[in-house]
Amino acid sequence: MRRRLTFSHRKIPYTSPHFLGVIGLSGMSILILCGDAPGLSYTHKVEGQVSLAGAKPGRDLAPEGIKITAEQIKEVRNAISKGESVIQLNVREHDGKSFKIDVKTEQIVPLNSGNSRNKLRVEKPAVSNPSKPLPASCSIYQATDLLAQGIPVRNRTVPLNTGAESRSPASPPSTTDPLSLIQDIASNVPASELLRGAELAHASNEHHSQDDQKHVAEAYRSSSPSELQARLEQAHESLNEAANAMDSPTLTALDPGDKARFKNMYLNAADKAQIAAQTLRASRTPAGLPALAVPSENPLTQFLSQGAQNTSLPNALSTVKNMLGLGGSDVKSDSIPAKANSNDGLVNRQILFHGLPQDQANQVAAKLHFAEPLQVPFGEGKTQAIKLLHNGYLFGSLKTGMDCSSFVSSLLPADVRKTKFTTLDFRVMWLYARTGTFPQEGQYSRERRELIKQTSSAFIPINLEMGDHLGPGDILVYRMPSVLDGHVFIVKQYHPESLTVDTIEASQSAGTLRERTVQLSVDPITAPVRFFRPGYFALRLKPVDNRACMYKETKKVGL
Amino acid sequence: MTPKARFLCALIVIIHSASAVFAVEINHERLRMANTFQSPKEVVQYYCSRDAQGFVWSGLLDLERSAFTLWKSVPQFETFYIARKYDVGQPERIGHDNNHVQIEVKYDLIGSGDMNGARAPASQKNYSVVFELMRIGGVWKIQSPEPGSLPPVLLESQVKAGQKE
Repeated sequence: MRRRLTFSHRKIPYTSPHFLGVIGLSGMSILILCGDAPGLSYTHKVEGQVSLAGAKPGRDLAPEGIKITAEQIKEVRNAISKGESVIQLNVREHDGKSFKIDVKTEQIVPLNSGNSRNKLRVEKPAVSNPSKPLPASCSIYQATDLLAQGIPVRNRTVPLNTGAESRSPASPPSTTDPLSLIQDIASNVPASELLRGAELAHASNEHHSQDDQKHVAEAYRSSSPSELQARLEQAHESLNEAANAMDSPTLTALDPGDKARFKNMYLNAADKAQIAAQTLRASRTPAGLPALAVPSENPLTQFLSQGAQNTSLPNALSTVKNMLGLGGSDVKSDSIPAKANSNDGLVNRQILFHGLPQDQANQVAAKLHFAEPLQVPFGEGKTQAIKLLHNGYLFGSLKTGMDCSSFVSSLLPADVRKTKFTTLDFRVMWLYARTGTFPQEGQYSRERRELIKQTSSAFIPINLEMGDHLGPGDILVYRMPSVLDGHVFIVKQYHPESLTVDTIEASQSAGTLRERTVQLSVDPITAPVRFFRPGYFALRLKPVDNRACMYKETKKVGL
Repeated sequence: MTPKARFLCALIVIIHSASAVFAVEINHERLRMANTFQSPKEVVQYYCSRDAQGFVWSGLLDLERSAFTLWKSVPQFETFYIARKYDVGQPERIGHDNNHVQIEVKYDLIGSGDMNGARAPASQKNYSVVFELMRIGGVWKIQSPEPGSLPPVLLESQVKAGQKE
């Protein structure tokens, strides 16, 4: 029996994210997503079948008993492309007015649901309606999970992935409707600006580290080999002292995680300085003397055994300069110098900085972006002022760094950015936005509680486990109630088929801003059902509701 | 130069070097910039030793990654496992290829946590990692597991409980 499949939507004000209608199929589901305005929810109803009106977002709307095979999908698409049949979207406003929109062939993709359904065919509509292009914001989304429904990146189509039929890349949906474009731009501005800010901060972070590297390296531009060797040996001792200082319980300015991280960084730098100094020393060994006898278990032999002791001074100098990223015309190497904002780059910078005489070090430190002043205790109640060089990340931010929470807080719009929000704050906002109840967690003062409540109204809570999808500019938070700390990311792109998300974050272990792909599920990608890792949730800045565009579009279709 | 002068110079050089080596230093597995290990077990022992002392968690250096592994990236984890001890097994040849071996490292886990003091008990006490190594150009390097599936494992003695102040 031929049936006509129609979709309809009702406008509801800002109560839910965009919503999808799904046709259940044999082993596959067709997913059509239209998110052309905030607050819209879509249901679909198959004539003669159970109505799913009122179904909640994120739930599979595949009607019971509906099944379509891969061959039938192909048949449907061919029929539509030839104009023999049509799948229509019924758009119904609150005032009861409605209009139909024809779904294009490239806007139909299979969704691997794993469920079996009865057959469904698309029939030629009895009434010929003028074909209207879907609003530009209607997109097609492919998901491999029954519950993985939500809002995709706007205006993006995902090609078929059945393997059972040949396919060509889907053509991008039409974006020629200026009103839809304006509407999309207006509604996407907050999230787009947040993501753009994160990308700029990332680029700026790299630039600052490069600047710092140049300032420190400049002090070594005209160093002789003997001077360089002396500085490296001084750096070795100074870095070991700095590593010891990180173990001091009275050093409270730094977070314990950062103390451990910098201690290891200082140790690495001290080892590398020693190797570099030994390389130069061995090359300057007076002729005729026996090679330096070093036990084989000494890590330095790994360099000396390569013939460093027989290396000429110019070669040794070139090798050491390359090791430290000093460059120069006398450096002969095919290796790529370490990036300034990498751990390797920071180790090199630390070696060079700690090898400088005190007065020169003070002059260089004044020019550095990422140099945190610290008072380090060194016994008998005395303290020593040092400059802690870093790549942008310091837990608690301090004066010159930032952590993940302050990074994200700094990107919020001015009217939202009242203070630095922690991951606990974000979690409470999410819960309050969803439930309307302020959770009794932690110690919140009345003022802070009111600020959290007020700020939460600027966000849409995204529930991954209910099928909501992440979008660019979303704030992804990891926070478990039982854990003291969490983490927060800025979403660049979400991959629902693999449950991974490309993010920008301020990472403690990396010590800088970086891009990273986060896996939201530990289940293998081939598993029939994949669960989200607990503790992840997201917040989306509310779109701008441009009622002028909505009104004009409504008027355009004669409603 | 007379033999006596030559001996004095050598003595000065040796003493200077020894003093540089034995200056105030924290006992740790020293950074190696080149892979001169002759056996694959030494490579795994070096990696596990560095890992146990937190050098993988705090950021494996790129020069180590290229010298001792075939990875394109480094492990990036904010949290880590905590072990009481670990044992590096013997290399086992994979198939008939003398340049491809695997080595199992067994850990006695006591929990997981982060450097800010958060701790959770271990879901499994016995945890093992099978490293696969390949010999390329006469040098053994770690091929697998991939860095994304190799969380750091620190020794209990290296992790201070309740570090959060």
